Amino acid sequence: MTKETVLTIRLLAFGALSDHLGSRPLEMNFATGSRVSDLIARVGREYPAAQSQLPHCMTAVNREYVETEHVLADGDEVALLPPVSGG
Amino acid sequence: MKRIVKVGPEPIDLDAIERGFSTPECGAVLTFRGIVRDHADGHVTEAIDYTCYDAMANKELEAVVDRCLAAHPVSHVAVLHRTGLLEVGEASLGIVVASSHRAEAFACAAMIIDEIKKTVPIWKHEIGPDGKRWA
Repeated sequence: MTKETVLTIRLLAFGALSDHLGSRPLEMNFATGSRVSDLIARVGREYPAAQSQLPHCMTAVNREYVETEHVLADGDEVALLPPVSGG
Repeated sequence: MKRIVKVGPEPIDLDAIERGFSTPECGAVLTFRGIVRDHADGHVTEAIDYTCYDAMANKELEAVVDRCLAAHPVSHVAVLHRTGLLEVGEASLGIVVASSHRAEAFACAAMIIDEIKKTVPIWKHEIGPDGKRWA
């Protein structure tokens, strides 16, 4: 990837997903135009143990829930959120 | 209108809130406490470690309260969700709703609990004699 085609995001994982991805933010690079669905696919490849949980996760970008078609931007904070269990 | 909404590690104390919500127009003051119980899904629970996405949890809880007030207008509302390690018997969630009549208070409180369980980024890590498990 050339410098012009790369964006960098900070990835946060919570709940059961943090058992596999850790609870510290991860920095990841993607090609410009990449979507949340691309990020989820890559997480599944790089963390196979987390694969089964990913379809059940919601995603937030910059603390707002988004759909998987959402296009990522440089500097985004992306959070993968397993089903919540507060109460 | 009095409105208190918070996700955080402080112990939940609803007594002062109940008193503050007992204003002359309110015929109903409803209090709900969610308590850590000693079992879940056939497992013994000794404690629950509640974690949250700090930067988002308070914002989502505010949005939940907005939606519930739009559906069920009441006079006053307080929703407090605790985080951190809680032992059996401790309150993890406190809700106080005050309204003119009881029906709005019950409906509003019930919707608040239901909505918290859908969208507020908080997770339970249950701790028992057979280890830790995510709820």
